[in-house]
Amino acid sequence: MPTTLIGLDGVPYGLITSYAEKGYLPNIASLIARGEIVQMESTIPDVSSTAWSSVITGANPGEHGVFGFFDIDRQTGRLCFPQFSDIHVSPFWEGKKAAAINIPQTYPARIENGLMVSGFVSPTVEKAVSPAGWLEKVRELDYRIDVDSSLAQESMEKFLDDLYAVLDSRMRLFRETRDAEKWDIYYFVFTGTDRINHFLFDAWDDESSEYHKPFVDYYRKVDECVGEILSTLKPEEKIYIHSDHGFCPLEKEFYVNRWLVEKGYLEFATDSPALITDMSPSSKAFSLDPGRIYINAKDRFPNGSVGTGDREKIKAEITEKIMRLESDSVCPVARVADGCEVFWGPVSSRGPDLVFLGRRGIDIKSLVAVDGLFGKRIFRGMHTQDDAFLIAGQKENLPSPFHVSRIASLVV
Amino acid sequence: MEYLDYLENKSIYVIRESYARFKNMALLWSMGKDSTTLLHLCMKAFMGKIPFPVIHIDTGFKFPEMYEFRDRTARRLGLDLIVAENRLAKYRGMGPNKAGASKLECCNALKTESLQQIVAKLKIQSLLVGIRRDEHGIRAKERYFSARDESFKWNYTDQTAEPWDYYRSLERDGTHFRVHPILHMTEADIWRYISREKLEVIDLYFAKGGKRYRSIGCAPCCEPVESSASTIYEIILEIESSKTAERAGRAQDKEDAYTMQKLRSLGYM
Ligand SMILES: [Zn+2]
Repeated sequence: MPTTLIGLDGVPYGLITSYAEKGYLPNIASLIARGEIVQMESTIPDVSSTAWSSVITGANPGEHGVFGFFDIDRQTGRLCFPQFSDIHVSPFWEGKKAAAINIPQTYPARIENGLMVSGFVSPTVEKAVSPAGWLEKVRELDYRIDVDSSLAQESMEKFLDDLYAVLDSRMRLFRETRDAEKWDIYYFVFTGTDRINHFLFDAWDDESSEYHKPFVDYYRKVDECVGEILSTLKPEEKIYIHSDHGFCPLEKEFYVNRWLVEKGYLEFATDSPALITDMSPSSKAFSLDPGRIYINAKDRFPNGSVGTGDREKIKAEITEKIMRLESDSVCPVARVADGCEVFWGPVSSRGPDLVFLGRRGIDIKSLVAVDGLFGKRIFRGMHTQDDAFLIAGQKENLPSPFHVSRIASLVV
Repeated sequence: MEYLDYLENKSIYVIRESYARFKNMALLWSMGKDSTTLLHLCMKAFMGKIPFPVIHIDTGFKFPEMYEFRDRTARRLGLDLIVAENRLAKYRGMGPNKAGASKLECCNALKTESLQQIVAKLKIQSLLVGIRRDEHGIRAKERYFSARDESFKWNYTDQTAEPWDYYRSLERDGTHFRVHPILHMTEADIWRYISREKLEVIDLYFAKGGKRYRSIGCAPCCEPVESSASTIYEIILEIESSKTAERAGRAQDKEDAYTMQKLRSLGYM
């Protein structure tokens, strides 16, 4: 059966149900009334690159191999950025006629039968469009892959304007592509929702905030766009709308690499480290976003220092010490996931040894150019592993909570 | 303490200490972002009124924007501005395009000699100069410093005589000491500080038509770099991603630099 999927990056179940009830999202609300909505869990770690890789493959990170937006290269010890081609499992649309538009972690674009326009992060437009025959059209539409998030540092107004400009361009691409072929699968993702959440999520239900109205207005606009897509559905078509992870207001950031320095597990080769790759080879552990903890093992990293025998011991030590850390009399880390338990599959050994999941409101960051353990920057929202959502536009009796890696099974 | 406060305190300590130790101090101001930051730090160190002269070594070849900025700022802040130029060399026709003269000879005649003349004339004992430890190129040959690496490990609150010495020239340079109060700041620190303090900087630093100046001096000798950074924040991201790319040994990889900038703008890395 032909299927349309709409992705709303970073939108939590709590928000969608509340806004739908309040009448802010009439199109989404009527779809829920026709079908159903369930809460959904995201991957560990709860970052878009990992979560979307699981969405489109139906696989665990240990199977598809994407554990975050960046990694330390096992050969060179340098930073590297996993690409679409690094996903070890084929996307569920393989063998079908599919349009896959703006899905994160799909750069550079490559599709056998259909159309792909890559999502975040796409450094060039040329390599973000497949087949290349579509490139000219995409350019003509003045299509924008992502909002310029750096604008938020300058002025929230400029950032909001840009969000709308990107959304408009996205809808131009929708109109151009929707009926360009007879699609088996039409997958269209909105990512502006995640972006606005990062900077303004504290305003989502705070009516006293100056950004409450702009925040709600943006969601209303997204609902309007969703409505436009829904209006093109054919009677025989199935429809799903879903997010990839949840979101909650950010109280403070916890700089886990500073903590590893304090505890003697991490050392930097310079007084002013800019990135984790400035660490000294003697380091025993380090962290990469979000909350991924790697033991700097000799058999894993070119600058590794920890022998095989000590790896489990250090893992246990770190787990024990972090659970004892208190800030405002609570531990900033709600859960320590052991990589051996949460990852399975042929490439699970590439994953982190541990993943720290922050307590609600405490965002675990790997930033190294900071002084203290805690801080707050411009960001007002953070991802959560729970509280994503899935709407089926038809009654299916979906189990709850659902899991992002099961979405693929609904389509195939 | 916040990082920028820490950097600021360090600089102010050095400025005040130098003022207390030397007679006839002066500040060398080129109107660039570094020495303009230093100027601002001096204002802070002396509660809004700088009690010593501010010297601009004028080669006559600066960008027009720089002269405008200089005069306006000097008036606004009530500076004791001294414009020094090497009239004799100019009279002889020295300039970047003078036949048979190298750039170095031009700089020597128009900058170094002018400076020597004004230092002698005002009997300057110490000169505040806005150089940073992460600078290189032309500065490297000046070698006014030793023990650079140790210098930013000291704690300004727990001050002893020796670390202070790292902050001034160990060579007396003939007549005066050079003091470098922003030595510990990096290019990105300077931009962060400028942003926090809302300092005005010359527009040439911001990208127009895909190019911007990373440093400014004499117009004929400055080359703009390719850049789309039109705000301070974008400049910081640009510096950090290029620094990172350099460190990672893959400056050629523009895609990675772009990806890193995008990720950082969302709070990652
Ligand atoms: Zn996000």
